[in-house]
Amino acid sequence: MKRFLKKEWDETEIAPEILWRTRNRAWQMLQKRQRQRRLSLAAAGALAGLAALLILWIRTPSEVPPIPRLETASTGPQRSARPEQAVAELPGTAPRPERSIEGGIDGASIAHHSEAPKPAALNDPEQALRPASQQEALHSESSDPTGQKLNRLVINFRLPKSGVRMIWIKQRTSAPPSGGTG
Amino acid sequence: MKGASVALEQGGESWNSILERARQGERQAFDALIALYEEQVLKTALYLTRNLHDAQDVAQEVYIKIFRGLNRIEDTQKMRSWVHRITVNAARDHLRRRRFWSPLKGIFRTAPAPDPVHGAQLRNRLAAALARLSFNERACFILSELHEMESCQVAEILGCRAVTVRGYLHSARKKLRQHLESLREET
Repeated sequence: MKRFLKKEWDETEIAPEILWRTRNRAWQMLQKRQRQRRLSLAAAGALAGLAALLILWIRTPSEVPPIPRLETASTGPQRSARPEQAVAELPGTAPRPERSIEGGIDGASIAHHSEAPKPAALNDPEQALRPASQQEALHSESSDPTGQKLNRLVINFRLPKSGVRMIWIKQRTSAPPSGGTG
Repeated sequence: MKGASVALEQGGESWNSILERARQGERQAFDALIALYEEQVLKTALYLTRNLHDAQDVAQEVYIKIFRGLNRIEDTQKMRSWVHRITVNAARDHLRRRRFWSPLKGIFRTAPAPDPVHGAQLRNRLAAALARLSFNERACFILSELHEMESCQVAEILGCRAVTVRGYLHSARKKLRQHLESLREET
């Protein structure tokens, strides 16, 4: 039985034309599927890029901090200069030097930069640790030449990741205590 | 199929270089690679599905799978059993699909084309004998008796134990013997 079936199996021959046609069909199918896959990948990439751009466009304006605005009415014409200049004049808001790229991590370069003036909060660690109310009280001691007492709260810091420098100034003018009217 | 790599090397090109070129998507290398297995694949599919058109569809699916799995192929012996495995699985899937769609196919049936396979009469006798077997029995019989594989190899291809393969073989032989005896009595 086995010999009979084996003989029939061996004598069965498939025409070369059929073999070639099947192979050709498989190759064409492969090419078609590869083309489709490439197209779908390109479309998916383009869509992902568009989505990323859209997300960036939506998120960027909300991350930019609002520009601090100085009250100019109570401090006179000198105070109405550019906000950066005004901030530089305030106590404890000295500009922080940028770390040079050329300097790398060698000690000399770092030492050089450490001699540069730092913000007051960094020079005096105790001051940095004080609560906000005390700092406000310290700043509020400075008084205007016009006789008005200024209450200022200055927060000057740099965002660690983006490097954006942020300055928040809370400024309040209060009238000098009047001599026993009430 | 056993001496596939030997035949290639005698032809002047090594197995590895053909494989490498086929991986890069070269048509000639693909043809050379498929040519090693196509006759066996098509014959196996033909006796598993008992229909030339279905066998061509199965073989096409097998060639596509071979091309996609080229990166995993390391040597010819592993490739041989892998090709048989995907052939059997593709034929099984195809028959399942055909069983699902067969009621609709009867509606659009056309006149059968002349069978281009040489020895179609012989094939019909063998196919008629194999038609009495279940799919697993048929696959076991074809791989074990006609491809002359060991039962452990067949078990690896079919994803079952060698004992199970021997069981399938035993029942297949029994059914075939009965069929052939009835044929002899008729003649």
